[in-house]
Amino acid sequence: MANTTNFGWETPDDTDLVKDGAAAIRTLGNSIDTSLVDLKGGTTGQVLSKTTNTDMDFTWTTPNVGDITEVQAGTGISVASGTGPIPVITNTVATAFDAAGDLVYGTGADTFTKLAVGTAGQVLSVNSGATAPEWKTISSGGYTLLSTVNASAATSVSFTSISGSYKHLFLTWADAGSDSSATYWSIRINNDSNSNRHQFRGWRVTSDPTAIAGINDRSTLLGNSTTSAPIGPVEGSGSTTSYNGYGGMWFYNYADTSDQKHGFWQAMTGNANNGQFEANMVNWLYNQTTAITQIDFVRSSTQTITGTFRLYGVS
Amino acid sequence: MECLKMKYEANVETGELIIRELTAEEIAQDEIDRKMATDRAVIDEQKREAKDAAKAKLEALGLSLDDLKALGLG
Repeated sequence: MANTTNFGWETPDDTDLVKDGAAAIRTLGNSIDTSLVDLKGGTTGQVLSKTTNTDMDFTWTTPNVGDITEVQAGTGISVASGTGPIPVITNTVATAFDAAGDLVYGTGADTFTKLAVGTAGQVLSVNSGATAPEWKTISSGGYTLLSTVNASAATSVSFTSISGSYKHLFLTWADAGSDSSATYWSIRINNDSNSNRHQFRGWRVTSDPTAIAGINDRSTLLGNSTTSAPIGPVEGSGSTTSYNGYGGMWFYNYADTSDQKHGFWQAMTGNANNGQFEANMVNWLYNQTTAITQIDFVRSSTQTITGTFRLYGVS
Repeated sequence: MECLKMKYEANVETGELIIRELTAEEIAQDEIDRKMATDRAVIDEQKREAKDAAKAKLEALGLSLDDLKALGLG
């Protein structure tokens, strides 16, 4: 008598007589019917559960409420093989970290991104748009050299496209000389040549102890203008016999748009021809509230200017 | 004769330094600035000369600035 491989159900031998086929089929059917009896029945939602370790020993059972049949991904979570047999749950926030020092911050509702570690000494700050954190180098509060101009026989020296990234501007000139005496240079803000916008008042002190006077009393020497702010003669009696001028000029709160612009300049110049030296100390005002983005040297005659001009941003 | 009018223009944002001739508009403004300076210098000189002349007249009369102040005129 032959039997099936897995369940051992009885089947006819190849040599059995055909007339015994009906009985053989019935015997096989009864064996199958007996083996599968546990699969019969059950109700909607029930699952088949093993009753014992015995083959084909099942019981239809109803899952308990709360039993996990599937795992789905929520915010910040990813799931592989959600319905089993072994779901893999991953914290996607954690996977955003790639290297030591990485930070993760929100970019909106339920979204995030990574901020890689900054460089040594940087501090965590908020960006200019107030939308995200950023690593920023601490300002030392010092001077940042923005531009240097070494002028030679220039008619004009100009600093343009000045950004508003600093608190103040400081402009210096060194070894600066004019090729003509009795002339003066002025500072013009934002290329504004309208009258009565630039004002200045100050003092001039010369090596002659009697020559201490307000600048307006010495206008032919130190200039007088309403369309620019004179900075006096950067000195000059034409050439090698005169000492050149050295000075510095402040532009306070130059990027502010609510106050008029103002500042202070001081300089020391000398003239070897007459042996006199002079110091100039002047307050200047530009009575407009627009931010300063351009500074021009304006001349009063046909003189040219030579020297080194440096513009600093002051934090 | 004046040499070429050269402008040193430093673009602070880009760091670029351009040395170029003044434009026609800049030359015109340069001439305005120089004329204004000349005019003001003339005015200042006239004021100074008038002051010196007045002081000379005072001295010719045997008066000084202190005398004017004493009279409440100084």
